[in-house]
Amino acid sequence: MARNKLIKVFSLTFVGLFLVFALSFIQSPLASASSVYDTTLRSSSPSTVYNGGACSAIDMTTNFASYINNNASYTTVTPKSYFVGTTQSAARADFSHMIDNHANGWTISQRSAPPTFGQGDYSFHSGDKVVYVNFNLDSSNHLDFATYAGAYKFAYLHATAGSGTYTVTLVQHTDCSVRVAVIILTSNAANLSDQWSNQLLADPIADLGWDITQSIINVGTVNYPAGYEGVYIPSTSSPDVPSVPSVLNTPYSATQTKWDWADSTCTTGTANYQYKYTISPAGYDSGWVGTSTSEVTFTTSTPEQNYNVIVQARCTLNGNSSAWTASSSDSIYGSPAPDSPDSVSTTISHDDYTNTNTIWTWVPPTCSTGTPDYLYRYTIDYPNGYNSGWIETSSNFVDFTTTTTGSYNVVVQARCTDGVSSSEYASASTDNVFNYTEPLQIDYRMNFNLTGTISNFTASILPSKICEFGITDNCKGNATDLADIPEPSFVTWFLRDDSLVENELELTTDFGLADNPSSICNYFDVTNNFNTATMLEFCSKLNGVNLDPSHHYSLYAYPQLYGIFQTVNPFIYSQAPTYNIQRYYNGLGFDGKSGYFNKSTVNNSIDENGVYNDSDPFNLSVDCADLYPITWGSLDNVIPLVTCSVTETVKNIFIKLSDFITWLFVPSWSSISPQMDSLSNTFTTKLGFIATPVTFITNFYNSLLGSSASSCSITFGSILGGSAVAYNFCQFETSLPTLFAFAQVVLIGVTSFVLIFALYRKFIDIVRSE
Amino acid sequence: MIFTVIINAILIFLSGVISLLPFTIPAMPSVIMSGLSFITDNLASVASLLRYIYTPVFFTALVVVAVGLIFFDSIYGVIYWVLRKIPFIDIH
Repeated sequence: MARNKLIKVFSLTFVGLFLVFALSFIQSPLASASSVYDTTLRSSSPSTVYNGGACSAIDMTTNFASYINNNASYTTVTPKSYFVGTTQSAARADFSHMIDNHANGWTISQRSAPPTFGQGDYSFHSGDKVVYVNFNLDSSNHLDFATYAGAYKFAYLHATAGSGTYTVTLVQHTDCSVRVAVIILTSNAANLSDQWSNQLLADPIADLGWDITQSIINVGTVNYPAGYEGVYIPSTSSPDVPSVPSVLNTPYSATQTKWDWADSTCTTGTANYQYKYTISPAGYDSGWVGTSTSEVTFTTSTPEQNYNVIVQARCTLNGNSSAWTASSSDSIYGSPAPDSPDSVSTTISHDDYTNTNTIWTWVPPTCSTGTPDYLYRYTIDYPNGYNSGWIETSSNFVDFTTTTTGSYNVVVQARCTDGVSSSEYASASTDNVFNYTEPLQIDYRMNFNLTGTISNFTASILPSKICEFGITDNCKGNATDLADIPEPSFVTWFLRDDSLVENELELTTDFGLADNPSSICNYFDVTNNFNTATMLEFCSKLNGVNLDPSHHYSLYAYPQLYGIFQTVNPFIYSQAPTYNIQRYYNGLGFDGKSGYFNKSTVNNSIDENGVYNDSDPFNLSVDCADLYPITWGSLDNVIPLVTCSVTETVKNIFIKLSDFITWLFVPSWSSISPQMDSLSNTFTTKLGFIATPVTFITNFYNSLLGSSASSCSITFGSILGGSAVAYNFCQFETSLPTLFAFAQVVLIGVTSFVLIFALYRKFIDIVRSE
Repeated sequence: MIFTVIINAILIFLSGVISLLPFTIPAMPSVIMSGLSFITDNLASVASLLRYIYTPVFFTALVVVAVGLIFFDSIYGVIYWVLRKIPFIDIH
């Protein structure tokens, strides 16, 4: 009998242990295993070869031009480069025999801290390989390739096959002496174009060159230690002469003309151009000017002059250039300038829809030759002043936001132009001053929680205003019916006065049943704007009863208020009125049934209509059971001090009793830890070596269980004189993530099985012994 | 609060008594401390690697269960002794 009970007790204990044990490790290994197969591109902006900044003058070769020049897209991946190595300090070294044997197992690492630029992820496809190439340039930023021409073959310094994400980093020396290019080789060019976009690297930072090391070098009889860098040796062949560029001019602006020509095609190398620009009969000749772009733009505003551009092209490869092509030329003739137009007059109109912009328009003048274009200048004299300066436009209107109080001014000049030459601007310009007062914006909020359906909800704003109801479409006019407002509802009004004629705004809200409407109406003096508006009259009604206009009413639309008064008794809310209540708001309270506070439930600070009176604005005592207010107004308003009558419920009594018992009998660590720390310090200070076992046990526990740190390497302690690393699993996980994850899962599974089996054997032994 | 006061009183008392000792016992020689630190440092390093391999959650469970297995008989003896002291479950 006793044995059976004992067996049950231990069975339950072990079942619990097994469940806890299983749940404790089930998440992490499975989660990490699932991520092994994630081969998606981790970054939308992967890096590519650097070719910019201060060192952009480096002359790349054709073979790499498509990868690195001008951040062009990868279109073909057929590198024919050569790779040799050189020590960092020596002039050159020969790695050809290694490359000939396709030495693998190379890694490239940075010399110092990682840079903050040029990193990206590339999702490899099956068969993809990575090639790292260093460009080691002489002081003239050119390679001395003659010594090595044709001597070496292509090398895969780092080859990665299959799937996986590999992060590459591009680094440049600040002195331009070394460049590192990373090239992804793939049998499918679409892979690169899809997932490997070019990106100009940021400015290079301090010495961040690369060290190339090998884990295995078994080629020939020479072992190459770390510190070697790769040198890219380009081809020495000269490029062919490209096709002749065909130059044509097009009007660029009223005063300028652009000559451009189609890019010349180079079989090898990169096309570059020279042009000569002449003006006759003025007699100007620019001489030949080299350029790598395929367009030039010149000012051609002088009438009755012949402007001519002559262009030649050639191809350049590794500093070797082909002969120039034949010339292509094109010219334009500056026509006599058109006559000036007549004057321009401006008019002003509003954008009637948004009412935030003002449009200045003007009537296009008559041009005897050409078409008119304009200069306008836009100024604001308030609040900080603004002057746009003269701005050219071909439109006959400009549109500006004019929501800030101030004087807006637009001055317009017109001229006639034929696209090449233009007349003088008309001397007579017109301007127009438009004064605009900041629109009145009222954030008027109502929070409804009335029983039943509100059947008659209207808003009237006088004089004619624009209003936007938060729960309806934009409206314009005096009234909009909002029927069947769900309860509770929240309506926000945004009102704007743009008349400038009327300085009084009436805001009226009707709600309640159709046969017994209640309304709230306010008149505001809106001479300036709402923030300084003064309420002229308060004419609110509740259930048809007028409210006392002599009172100032305060809104207390505090967001928490609604929730506060939904809490069960008791509730005590206290907030000091540390800032002003905007008294031009009105405030009404409801109990949710009769539509306003019942007089019997409030003290004298609430009048017979349930209106909160500012004669005693900060003290309000009500019965929380009846206090069910409806609030509206600006969120800037403060909730007044509200003190509910304290009638403890049984539930709350038990809660407080529980809290008291907990406080009385359960010690908290925070209240003990200061004395515990003090004792520990005293203990270790005074007792010396006697305290050592305690310290050792504490450290032992912290080492084993007191830390959650994990590391992929084992480091020996300082007793060995350094931070020697016994073994490193980091590379294992990085290089073989799939295998690592599976090994992790298998190891955890085997360990779990052994532990569970051991517990089971212990359990069985105990049971059998009984 | 009651237990907090009692515990704090005990801690303050012990601190006071120890601090009132007229002598200060010398610290453990640094050589020995270095040796102990070597043990704990390498233990931490190994534990850190095992957390890396096993994941921290599983490693914690692993240590707890391993300790439980090592001291299984002792733990069982204590539990059994306590259970025998409870009359109504009738364990002999």
